[in-house]
Amino acid sequence: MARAREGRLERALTAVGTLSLLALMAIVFIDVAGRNLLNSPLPWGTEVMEVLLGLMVFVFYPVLARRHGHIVVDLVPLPRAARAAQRLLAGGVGAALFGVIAWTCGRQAIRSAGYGDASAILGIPTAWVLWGMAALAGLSALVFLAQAFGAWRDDAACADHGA
Amino acid sequence: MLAVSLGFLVAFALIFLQVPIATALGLVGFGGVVVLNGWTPALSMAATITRDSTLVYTLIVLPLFVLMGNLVAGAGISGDLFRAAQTLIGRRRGGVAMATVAACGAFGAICGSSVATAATMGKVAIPEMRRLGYGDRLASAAVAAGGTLGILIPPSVIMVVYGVATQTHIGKLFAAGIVPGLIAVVGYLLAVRYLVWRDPAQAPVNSERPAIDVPGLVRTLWPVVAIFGIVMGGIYGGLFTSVEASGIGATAALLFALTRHNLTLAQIRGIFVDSASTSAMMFAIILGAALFGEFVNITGVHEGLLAMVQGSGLSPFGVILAMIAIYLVLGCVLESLSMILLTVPIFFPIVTALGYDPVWFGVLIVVVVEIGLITPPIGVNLFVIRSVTPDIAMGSIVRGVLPFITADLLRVLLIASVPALSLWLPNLLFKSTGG
Amino acid sequence: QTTVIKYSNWLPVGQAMRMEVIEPWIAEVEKVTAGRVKIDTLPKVVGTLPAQFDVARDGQADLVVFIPGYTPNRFDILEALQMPFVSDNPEVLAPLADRFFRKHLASYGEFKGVHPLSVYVVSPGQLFNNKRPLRSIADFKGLKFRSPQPSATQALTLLGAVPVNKPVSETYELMSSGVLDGTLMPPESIPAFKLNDLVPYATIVPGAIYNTVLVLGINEDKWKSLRAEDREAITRISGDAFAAKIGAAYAKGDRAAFDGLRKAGKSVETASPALVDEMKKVLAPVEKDWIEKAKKKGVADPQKLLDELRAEVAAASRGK
Ligand code: NA
Ligand code: NA
Repeated sequence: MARAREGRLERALTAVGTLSLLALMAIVFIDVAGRNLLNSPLPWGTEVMEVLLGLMVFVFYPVLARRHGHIVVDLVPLPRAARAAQRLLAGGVGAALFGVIAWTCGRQAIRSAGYGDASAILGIPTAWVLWGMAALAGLSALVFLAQAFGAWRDDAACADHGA
Repeated sequence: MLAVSLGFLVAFALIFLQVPIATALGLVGFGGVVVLNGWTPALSMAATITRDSTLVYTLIVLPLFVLMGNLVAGAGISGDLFRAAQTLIGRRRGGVAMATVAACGAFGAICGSSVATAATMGKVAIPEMRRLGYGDRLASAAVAAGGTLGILIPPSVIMVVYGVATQTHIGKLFAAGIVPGLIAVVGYLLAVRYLVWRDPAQAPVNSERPAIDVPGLVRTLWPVVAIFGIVMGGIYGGLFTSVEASGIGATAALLFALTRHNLTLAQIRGIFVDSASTSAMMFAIILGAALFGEFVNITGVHEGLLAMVQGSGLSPFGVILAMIAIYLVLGCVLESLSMILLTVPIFFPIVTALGYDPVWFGVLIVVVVEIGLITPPIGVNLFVIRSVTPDIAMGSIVRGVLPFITADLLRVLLIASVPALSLWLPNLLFKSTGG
Repeated sequence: QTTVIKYSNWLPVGQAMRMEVIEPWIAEVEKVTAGRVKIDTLPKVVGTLPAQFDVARDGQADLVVFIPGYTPNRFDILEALQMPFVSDNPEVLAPLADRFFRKHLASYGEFKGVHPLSVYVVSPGQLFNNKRPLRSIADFKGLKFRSPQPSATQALTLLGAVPVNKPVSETYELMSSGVLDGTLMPPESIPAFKLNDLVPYATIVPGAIYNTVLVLGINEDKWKSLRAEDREAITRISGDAFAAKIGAAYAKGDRAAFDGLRKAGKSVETASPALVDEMKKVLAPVEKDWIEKAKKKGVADPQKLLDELRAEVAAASRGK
């Protein structure tokens, strides 16, 4: 039951991130086509793309944490006995960092709401964006924390490398 | 100096204990600022950095160039390119490995990332070379090295990151990569020749002699030429900026992928998921490195280093050589993105203060960082080859890449001492001087 | 003992504001406080440009130069100084901005947490393009201009141009590759962005379409931690005295930029009174929108404030 719910959440986050990427591509295309063919670019293109980029990245943070998707240097194979300690360390560092990010984004969100900060053209409230980032970073911190204590040990697939 | 050294030490220790690079750098950076400045400034810094390394318009190029590369790879262009190169130069001894290098170069022209280039070419070329009796050493090394062409030949994700970090003209950087990219292809072809000469058993003479089929070649090459032409032509023709080129390139790649009947919609969706996920992984590194960079900034180590450089009596070129040496050492243990993000804020002010051209330095860095992709123990492309063909021994790959690394080193010296190789084309295309 | 003030600097070496005003000011601060206050320039900006207010407020660094226009909605009242047709001469408007701010605007407390040492403007935004001289409203039709800020975007739309919002760092690429036809830009920046050959037509709008306010600010607690006599000494060399030096430096830069363009045979024209009148009518909504915003933020009579500002500018200009 919990597994199913977890799977649904992961699928939902993945879908949101994927659609954000699609939207980024479409907005660039529409903006460039509008500017060159119709002399009417999207005035809000830049600010919406920034929010979409943030959305795409932050929805994938919990997913990456869950799938051990962050780049890891697995140079020296650790002895079996040290695995639990290593999990505690890696999960703890991840949880601490994303915890800090969640906390500080929330703090900035409150402040931004107080100032009434908003994007220049559409007036998208900065506080909403920051709250979203805070929530997703918080979720990532929870995933890292669970891993620190050995959750999903069985399917800790090998991390994929890239850059 | 002490604080920075300690910070690097702790971060590296965590990285070697298999803590993800991104979180290790980020947490050490944050902790360093807490120690130096206190909690309130550190929390505020973390918020500022989080926003400003994520919600940045120019960084849209990262996911979009990754998407573009993955779409053309998924559409099977890599196989076509490889077969085309094979019909052209595949007949001689070692010719299929040379065809692999050439195909990597062509694929680099429509793909912004080295990993995507190595992965996609690896899947196509290694099985084929094995079928023809090529040795694992030559087969895997040709792909690992050829893959690095993905970030030197434009478009290039790494060049964009450098351009954003240093406010250098990205269009000029792209143009500056073309000639060094062609030199790289030639260097790698020579490296293949050398390997074959040293160990002819690595490359049997190809008994299959595919005929050159001109209409087939045209069919194969037109999408590459079209997508490269749209992206670069649009930038230099004034239709869009190099940032927007990523979105246009991705759109063109998507349209092309949709016309290929070998790709289902579900597969295309999968390519989008992978691209977004890979990009988020890169953004995590950008965030971690930015937090760490802020800590380095506060320690004031740049000024110490600059004073050291000025007091060292090194000539400006000597300084550049020293930097290259540092990159080569770092390249053994770090991957390219974190390496650029950690070093550029420290080196760039020194290099420009010495009067060097930012565009030239950008190309030089890309070439040097590229070497790190194929140097052991941590060379991302080596891992990529392993993950594509798990039964190849790491030792074979490593021994195979040595001639390619030699070719790389010679090229670095050439590019470092003859800036015109990099700067001639961008200055031609953008008329005015400077960046 | 010495108090060290950490200055988060984003101005490149060689840039006028830094070399001609801020660095001498830093030396002077040390002198007038008899070495008790020392300003330490950090090697790289702390955080990024739009975040500088928060950087100072939270003490990531103590001293910053921040641009209020980079965080829309936050410093609405201050935008009075950025309205169209206020002044195109930083020599006049920069010191006046500081005095006007302290007299009329400071009481609204928009800078809570950061003590403004000096409030000033740099060069105004003027029009540069590569298509044609702008002699009537019709000439703006369809020209693609880079817009640096929301009020400029609104103004360009009202004039019939096509505003394109792109970061300033992309200006050179946008212009050199011909993606855009022109840009609104401080004249002083034209040589720095290497645009001399790319914008053959410059149009000077008397009073300017917009100005950009900058603030030299220090963390409030840090400021209060200084001895009263040091605060006084620093205040004396900051405020409108500091602003006047900035204004002079930028006015000089503007003149040099226009001279450079003229010498290179480019067209530099001042908009005719007829065109200015027409523009004033067309751009009226910019001012109207600001008045609404200022009312919401508690300014009783924003129109009066603007009238007063323009009257003061007129009075100060007569002296020049
Ligand atoms: Na490429
Ligand atoms: Na390496």
